[in-house]
Amino acid sequence: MRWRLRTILPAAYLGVLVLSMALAPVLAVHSPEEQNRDCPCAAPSSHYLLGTDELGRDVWSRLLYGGRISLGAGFVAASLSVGIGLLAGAAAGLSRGIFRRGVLALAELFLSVPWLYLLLAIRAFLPLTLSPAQVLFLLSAVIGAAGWARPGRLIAQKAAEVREREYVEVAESLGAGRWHLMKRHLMPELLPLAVTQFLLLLPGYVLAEVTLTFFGLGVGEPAASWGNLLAPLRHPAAANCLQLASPLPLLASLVLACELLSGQGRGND
Amino acid sequence: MAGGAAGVEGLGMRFLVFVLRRLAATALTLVAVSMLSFSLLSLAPGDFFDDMRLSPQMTEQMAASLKAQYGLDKGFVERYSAWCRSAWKGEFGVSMAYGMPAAEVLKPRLKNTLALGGLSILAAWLIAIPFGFLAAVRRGSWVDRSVQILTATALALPEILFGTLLLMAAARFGWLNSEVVFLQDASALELLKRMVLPGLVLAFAAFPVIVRHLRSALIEAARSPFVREARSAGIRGRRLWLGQILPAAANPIITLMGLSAAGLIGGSVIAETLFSWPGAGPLFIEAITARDAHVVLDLALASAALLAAANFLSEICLYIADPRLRAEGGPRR
Repeated sequence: MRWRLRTILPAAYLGVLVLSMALAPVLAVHSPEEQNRDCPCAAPSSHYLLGTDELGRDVWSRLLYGGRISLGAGFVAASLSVGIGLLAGAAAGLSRGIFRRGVLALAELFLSVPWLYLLLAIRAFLPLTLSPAQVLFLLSAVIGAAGWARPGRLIAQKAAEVREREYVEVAESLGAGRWHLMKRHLMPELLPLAVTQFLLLLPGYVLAEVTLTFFGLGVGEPAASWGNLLAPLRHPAAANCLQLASPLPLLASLVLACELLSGQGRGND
Repeated sequence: MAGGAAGVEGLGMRFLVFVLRRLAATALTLVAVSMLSFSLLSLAPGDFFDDMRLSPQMTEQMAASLKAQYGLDKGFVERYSAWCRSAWKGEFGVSMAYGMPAAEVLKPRLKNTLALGGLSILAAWLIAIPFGFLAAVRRGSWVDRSVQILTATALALPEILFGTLLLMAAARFGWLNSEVVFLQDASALELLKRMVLPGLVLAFAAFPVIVRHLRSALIEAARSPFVREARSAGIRGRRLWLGQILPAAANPIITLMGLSAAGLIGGSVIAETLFSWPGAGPLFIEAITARDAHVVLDLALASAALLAAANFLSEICLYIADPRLRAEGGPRR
């Protein structure tokens, strides 16, 4: 990775984003759930940095605490997907027989279900009333587990390709065990791929949490999440409450930053 | 697709075998998806009648007898086989919320989704093709760079973000028609008007993906040795791009067509629900909250079937278009 503006800038953005979510209790003056019914939908002021929502809650606080949930869900889910994908992919790449075929067939099955539908269908088996922490955990587990197939298949391909290389075959014929092959020869090749996959999955998973919550299937009120923040905008009456859209630019730049970092935005010429 | 009809006829027996094999694989996948979804759904705590307990007219016995009537008290295997039997009859289970065969609930909704999705994917391709071509032909120029910036911006606004933005703008500028019109009474023009906003969301999400893939497929094909040959033989301009490079790039472009259809299916839930288009998306969310199990299952299956059909069609097209694949016995997955 060369140190150019197009890698430094998105990396710095991600860093600032994560840092400000981590420091939410310090940066937020008001509690994200404290209601001030006297000034609903207030415009930004020195008292409320980003104004208030329709219940008079501080949007700045809700943005920070909501980011913890939305970004947190994305990070956990993406790590889970890439982790499962790395394990299954490396194992499938190393073995040649029925196990490899089985893993690839399973990945094929997971890929043939339209992703959002699967997600929603799985959400159906979560009870509708759970504490925000439980929902967050379950949601990211489900999103992460459902999405292992894409990184898994790519990693399996790469692992099989590395396995065929001459120096790996030499190492094997000299008696190197599976574990040694995995640690010494496979992982150094697979890890960069896994990092790229993580960056590709992350924005999609953050958006998945936002989408589910937006439609009332994710983390419920009163907990703050970027999806909950956006949700009132579904009703035309809230269109004047512009500050509720504050997660939009953050999410859009998150997508952009991850794209630049993963090297997809570099163009292929 | 050089050769045209004669080429297709020449495919003969091996083509038939290929089609049958792919069909069988698709059918198997769908059965597996139905089992997967069914078992996930049966893990769900509670069912449709649980919310009815809150009603004062409802006694425990009534709830139990209703459950027995719909077969909800039986085991997993029995419920799945009951659904399979009903799917065989073409009813695809029962919608408990609507009190009729699930197929009857689904049919108009799926029709609406297909109409919206089909039109918006068509629009996305029609707009994306000139952009992709322009960027590939004028690679490295300011035209290319501005197309890159345009697609990067569009990519940064996936359905949910662009949809919310559009909804806010629509509410502010009064583009939403507030009068309730039943779709079956609406004129074609009225229908098209209602489709514009959700269709825009779908097309906007598909557009950058198509442009980028089209561009890279064309550039990839333009690099191949035979294009260099053609260039040195004096073939240039339109004849080179349309006559030589485009056919060589057909392979990834056909695959992309299948993929973009698949993306629309996922995105339609968001676009339709945001703009209250009476398609499968809102029904799906409604059925999940009501725990209307068969409708959820059928919709997941229908979307998997659409995805499989798109893949299937693109594979057939690939097989016909690319003689190299024919020699290998079909496209690799």
